[in-house]
Order: sequence, then structure tokens, then C-alpha cells
Amino acid sequence: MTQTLSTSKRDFYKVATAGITGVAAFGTLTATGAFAGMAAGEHAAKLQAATPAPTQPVVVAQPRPHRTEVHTRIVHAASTGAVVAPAPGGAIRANRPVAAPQQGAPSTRITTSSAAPRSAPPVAPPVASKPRTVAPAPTSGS
Amino acid sequence: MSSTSETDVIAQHQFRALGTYVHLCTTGDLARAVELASDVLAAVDLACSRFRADSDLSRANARDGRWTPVDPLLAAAVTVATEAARQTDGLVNPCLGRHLVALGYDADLSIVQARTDRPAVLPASVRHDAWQEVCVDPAGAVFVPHGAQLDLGATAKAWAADLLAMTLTDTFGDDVLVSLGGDIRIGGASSRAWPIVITEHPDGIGDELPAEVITLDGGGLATSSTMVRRWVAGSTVQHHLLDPRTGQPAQPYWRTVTATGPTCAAANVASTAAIILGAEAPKWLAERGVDARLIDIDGVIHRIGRWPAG
Repeated sequence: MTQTLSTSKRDFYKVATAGITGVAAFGTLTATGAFAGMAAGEHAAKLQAATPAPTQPVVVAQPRPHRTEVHTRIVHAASTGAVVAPAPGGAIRANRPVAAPQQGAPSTRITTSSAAPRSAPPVAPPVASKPRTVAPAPTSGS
Repeated sequence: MSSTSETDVIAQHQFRALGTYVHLCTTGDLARAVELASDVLAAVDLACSRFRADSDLSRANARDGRWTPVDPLLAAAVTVATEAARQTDGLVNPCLGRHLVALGYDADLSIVQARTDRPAVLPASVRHDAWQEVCVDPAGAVFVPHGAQLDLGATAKAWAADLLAMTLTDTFGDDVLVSLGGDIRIGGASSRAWPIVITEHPDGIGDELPAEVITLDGGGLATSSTMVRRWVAGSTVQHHLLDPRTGQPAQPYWRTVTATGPTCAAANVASTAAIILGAEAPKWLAERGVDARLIDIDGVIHRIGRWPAG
């Protein structure tokens, strides 16, 4: 019965989340919800309980009545074997002190928020006259 | 790749998810990016957390030896974990959940660290090749081998950074940098060089060595360390990076490894494998073209590949 409860909570959560976040911004048929999901869980679990061997799974595919936040194609793109293989990454350089920008040169301004940010105001704030250095993103042991 | 615009505004915000900090930088609207990021990470947590009884992973672990229908997000995360094992001949191994529990890491780390000493009783046998029996149906089912428990700690956070950066870029078209507890992924069309500060502990608190700042213009970067996620069990200081060949925390050789890769998951596989490999790590990394910075237990820094001098 734990699974039934979990399924219920899951669907409630995702329906609620979809309503809050306005999923209209996402694709129509590409959302994860098109996958078989927990809605099929209980029935499939009963079927699979009788087949313990790691053979082809029996999954009952039912489209969800809602869409989750992650596109199916992105999940697939982020989960192939190729993305896991250790290999050369981006160009890495020692960080040099930022010199004063020259006229017309690209510049960067950074804003930092410790509290949850609100939506951007309709009129963009004035750009600082002197661009600041981008605060470095942290990486530490994990 | 396009160049950066003349005046780019980068907004950033830190919040917590997946039991760690999230550092999010974007050239776009920060509020909508944070909102989407929170939703994506909540979905990942619900699918992949070992510490939530209601997660898909907990259900699958409770049904070892059988197929379990799960959210496709977990199916994808397990695919990445098993592929990581394949790429490293099992060194980065998703089937060590039972060992971590036996060593005391059976709850959120803050809870584990707050406990007084407790015995560490390892399972009688170490099936370091059990990962080969893990099966995944990407539509939404996972098979956990009998007697095993999956722990996705070695890959899931890095994979989530990839997933989040790709989602943000795909949805909003902005340049982004995502750091999930130090597992970093850069997304976007520009060749922007993002500054990254490297420390052994969060915010460098307790570090013996000065922080090193580099820039990276794409892909991923990850840092693995035996200096964090430590707790006491069996009167011994334990850490979370287990050597699957012994089922015990990896022998001290490197204390911190930072590596880059085409993705954050790839970088994290490299940094984790290096910790476990010990003395063999520099050769292993060089053979794969990985740029890395390794700190040995004496605090000496070793640079591999194109990693710049400090």
C-alpha cells in the first residue's frame, strides 16, 4: 500500500506543480508525462511480482494527465552513455585579474540575490557605469 | 558559438536542494530560472533520493530482485550510473547502497554526523560486479539485483546539474552556469568564460591551501573529496567515496580531485574514479584527455592535461 500512497502523492504533487509553474512554456508532446509513470505503478507491480528474473519488464504505458518540468528529449540527451565517458572538457584557464574595460569592449555586470528573486521589473534597471567582475561559481569537495 | 553581447548582465542566486547548495547564474531572467530549477530539482529528489521513503529509488531498493516501475527520471539516473560503472570497470559503482548504510550513511548527512559513534558492520560479501545485473527500461522501470541497493550519490548530483543546465538553456535560451554542491555544468551558445573558485571545503572554510580561481568556457567540472561528507562509525572516520573492490572508504592517497569533462557527469566520473584509483589516477586521467587538479594527502597539488599552473 506504500506504493499506492506514493503514487497518489506523486501525481498530486506534479499536478499542483504544473499548475503553479505554468507549463504552457513547455512543449506539448515532448514532456516527461508522456512516459509511462507512476500512474501505472500498482498494476504493473502486480504483474512483475510474478516475474522476478531480469527479463523484459512489463510496463503499462498510460499517458499522464499533466506534464512535468523536464522534457523527454532532454532527459534522453542527458542520459546517454556518451555523456558519462571521461573526456576533454571546455577550455580551462587561470583566472586573470580583470583589467579596466576599453571603450566598446564586451563587459559584464552581475547581480547577486540571497533571497528568492522576484520577476524582473518591466523596465530594466540602469546599467552600472563600471562593470563588475563576475563572482566565481564555487566548486568544493562533494 | 556566438560571442557575448556588449553588455551582459549575469544574475546569480544560491538556494538549497538535493541536500546541498545550488548556485545558479544566468544571463536571463533569474526569477523564472530559479523557479524552473526548483521544480526540476524537486522532481529529481523525489525520484532519486536514498533518504526519502517515498522516492522511486527507495521503492526500487525495497524490491531488489524484481522490476519496479519508476519515474523515467530515475530510469535515466540509473542509466547514467550504470554507464559510469561501465566506463570505469566498476570503480564508480551504483550498487554500494547497502555498504553505505552499513557504514552509517543511512540518512541525510547532517543527521549522520550528529550521531555519536556507532558500529560499522559491513555486509558479509562484497558483490562489486552486481552493477552488471542492473537493468533499466527508459520508459520507466528499474531492476535492482537481488541483495543489492542502489546509491546514486556518485553520479546523480552531477547528472542533475547537466539536466538542469540543459533544461534552462533549452527553455529560455540563456547562458547559464549551474553548480550543485560544486558539480558544475555550463550551458548556452556563447563561449563565455565563467570564473570558478576551487576549494576543498564549501566556501574554503577549513582549507589549508588557498583557493584557486580558473575560468571554463563549456562542459562540466566536478570536485570529489574525502575531506567532506565524513562521519564517525566503528570508532573510525568514514567518508562517502567507497572503493567497490573492498566495500570500504577509498584508501587515502588523493584527498581532493577536480576534473573537467564534456558534461558534469563525465567530470564527476573522472574525479570520483581518480580518488579510488589512487596512484594510478594521473595515468588514467591522461589517457582519457581529462584536465584535472589533484591534491594528495600531503597537500601537494598535481596538475594533469591542460590544467593551468596556479
